[in-house]
Amino acid sequence: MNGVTTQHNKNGSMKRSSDRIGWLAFDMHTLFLLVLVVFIFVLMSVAMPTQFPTTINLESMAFQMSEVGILTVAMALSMLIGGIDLSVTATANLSAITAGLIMVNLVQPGLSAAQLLLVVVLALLAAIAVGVACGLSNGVLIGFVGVPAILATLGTLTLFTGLAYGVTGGPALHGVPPQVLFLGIGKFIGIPLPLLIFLAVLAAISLTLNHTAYGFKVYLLGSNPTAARFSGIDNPRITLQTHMIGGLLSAIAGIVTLARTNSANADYGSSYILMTILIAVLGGVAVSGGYGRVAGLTLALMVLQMLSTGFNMLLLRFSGSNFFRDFAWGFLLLFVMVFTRFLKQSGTRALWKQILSGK
Amino acid sequence: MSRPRSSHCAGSIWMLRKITQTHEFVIAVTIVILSIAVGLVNPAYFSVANLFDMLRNATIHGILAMGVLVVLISGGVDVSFPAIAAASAYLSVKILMASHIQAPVWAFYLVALPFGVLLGTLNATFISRFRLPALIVTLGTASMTYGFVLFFVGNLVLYNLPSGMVSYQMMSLMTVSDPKVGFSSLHPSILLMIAAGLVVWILLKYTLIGRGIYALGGSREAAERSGFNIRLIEYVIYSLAGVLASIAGVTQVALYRNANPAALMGTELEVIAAVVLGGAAITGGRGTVVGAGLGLYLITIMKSSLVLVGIPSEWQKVVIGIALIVGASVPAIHSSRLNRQRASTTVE
Repeated sequence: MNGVTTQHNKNGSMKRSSDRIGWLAFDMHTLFLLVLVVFIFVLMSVAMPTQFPTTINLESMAFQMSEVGILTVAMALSMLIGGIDLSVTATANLSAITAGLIMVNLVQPGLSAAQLLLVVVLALLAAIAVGVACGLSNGVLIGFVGVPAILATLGTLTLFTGLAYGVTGGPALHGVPPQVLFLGIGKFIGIPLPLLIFLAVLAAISLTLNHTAYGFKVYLLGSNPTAARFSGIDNPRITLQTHMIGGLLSAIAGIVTLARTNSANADYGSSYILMTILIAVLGGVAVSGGYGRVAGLTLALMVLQMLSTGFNMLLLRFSGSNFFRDFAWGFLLLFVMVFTRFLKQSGTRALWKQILSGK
Repeated sequence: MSRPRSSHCAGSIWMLRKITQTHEFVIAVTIVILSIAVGLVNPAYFSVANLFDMLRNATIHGILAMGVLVVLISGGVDVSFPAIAAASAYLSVKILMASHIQAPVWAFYLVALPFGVLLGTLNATFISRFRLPALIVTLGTASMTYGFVLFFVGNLVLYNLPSGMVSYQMMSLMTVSDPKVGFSSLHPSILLMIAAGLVVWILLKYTLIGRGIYALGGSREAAERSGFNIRLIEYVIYSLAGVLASIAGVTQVALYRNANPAALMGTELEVIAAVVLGGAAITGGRGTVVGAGLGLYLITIMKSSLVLVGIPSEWQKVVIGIALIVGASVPAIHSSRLNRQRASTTVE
């Protein structure tokens, strides 16, 4: 991790040229992802012309993509400041369970519309409060106590999952009022509502990162925490804020999942952690922090969603096709990381040279 | 005559103070207090039979913890060891069952070992050769390993184990029968855990590579410049973790009497928590075999005492989570206070 930071510093001295190259590299990466999206879409459509390029399939992909997408943004934020947040799914589940418990216990047949609305609003606010509180505890541990992000979020992941298990006693929660389910399965002018929520999140985060002082500080903290500290940035505070935003986003993802599946579960989506890291890495977020764009994330998310749906359709007749996905995600993650590491270090030509010479 | 005695006395007080200030001492005291509390609630706790049961339950985690300890001291992290354990054990059982040989139990260990080494080396290649973050690499290899075995090799749990395995499961070093706890035996796999602990202890304390592991965890740059072969050390670390995982995996098959390709999934947190609680720093450079053992023992007692006090098992994860957070926070606060002290003295 340190190696990359020093490299950033070295490049910083040649600011002008590296700026241009940086811009170009970003553009190349986005272009590469865009080509990949088109390529996979065409490939899958040719392989399954009656199943893949259909409105129903595209719609169901949009629904699934949104939850993972929101969680990915939360993960990417924590990676931008040079850390990681392993507790995103645990936070989402705990928030969803909070909302679910409130609604299941307070919604009775005889409620009037206004009372129902009150309960729903209360439940959603409680879920968001839980999410932000989870983020707060991560932020305090990492920013103020000084626990490494891996360890802190490993601990809170266990804690939040444990709380979710303890509160529910294990089994999944059911019985959300239909008015809330609308959030997860409804459509607005033909566009799935979760997708709209996801797009709103993307827009908000993109604006915050690119056009506010906070966003600038996030990038600076991620690329060099020491430099950030000496330029007068309150590193612990930025860390805290970032994790609180991450907690908020996780809570939103939890609510969307609750509304889409009509259930909340202590260990729902445990494989999402790997998936969100994979999307972030594929989307160009630097694992050492300080670099990452929302456009890359979105395209990487589309790549992964199409691959996921495609694998499911292609391997349906084999038993345990989701295990192949686990295998593919792990493989892809390692491959993409090695690839980008080489690309950043030495450019494409040197990469081939290195591969051919076997060094 | 009086001087040497007083200096000897001062020396032993100094020694005592040094011992009481160690992390291991604090953990040991916590264990003793907790043990007394649990023993008061349930006197059966202090029986030999209960000790045997606890040792049996801790065997697999104990072997795994030794691998995790070495990785953490070097400043890395490994979350793929449950996957390596499950995969190498499952493959070993599958291969030996397909070969129709009446294989003795050591053959299962022998066949599993190369898979452990291979997967550990794979981790090391990505971490050392390509300089990628250990957490993300091992998350990737874990997903790959579980996915590969479950999809390409098989996703059925094997209950009809070969006779060599079954007779191994029945073996015992000693048996006791206690009026309260019942019949309890000490399984020979406990020797594997002790051996793993000894090997790692010797490696860390008496070998150049062991010193290199601490140096690497303290400061990679400094270790490199003082001439340690960092790449070799990293390969040793992750291969060792792989080997220990494969041993733990086969032991798990024997003790639970089934071969499950998804076995141990999710146990990585508990093992890492135990090692961290035992004083190993995830930032590297710190950790001992004794500490890791005590940490594991503490978590085992905490879990069993929860049940004794009457808290349902669903809350166990909360306790592990809190233990992990506290275990990580205390040294972090301690080191930041030290840094502040150092900073204030240099300013003056």
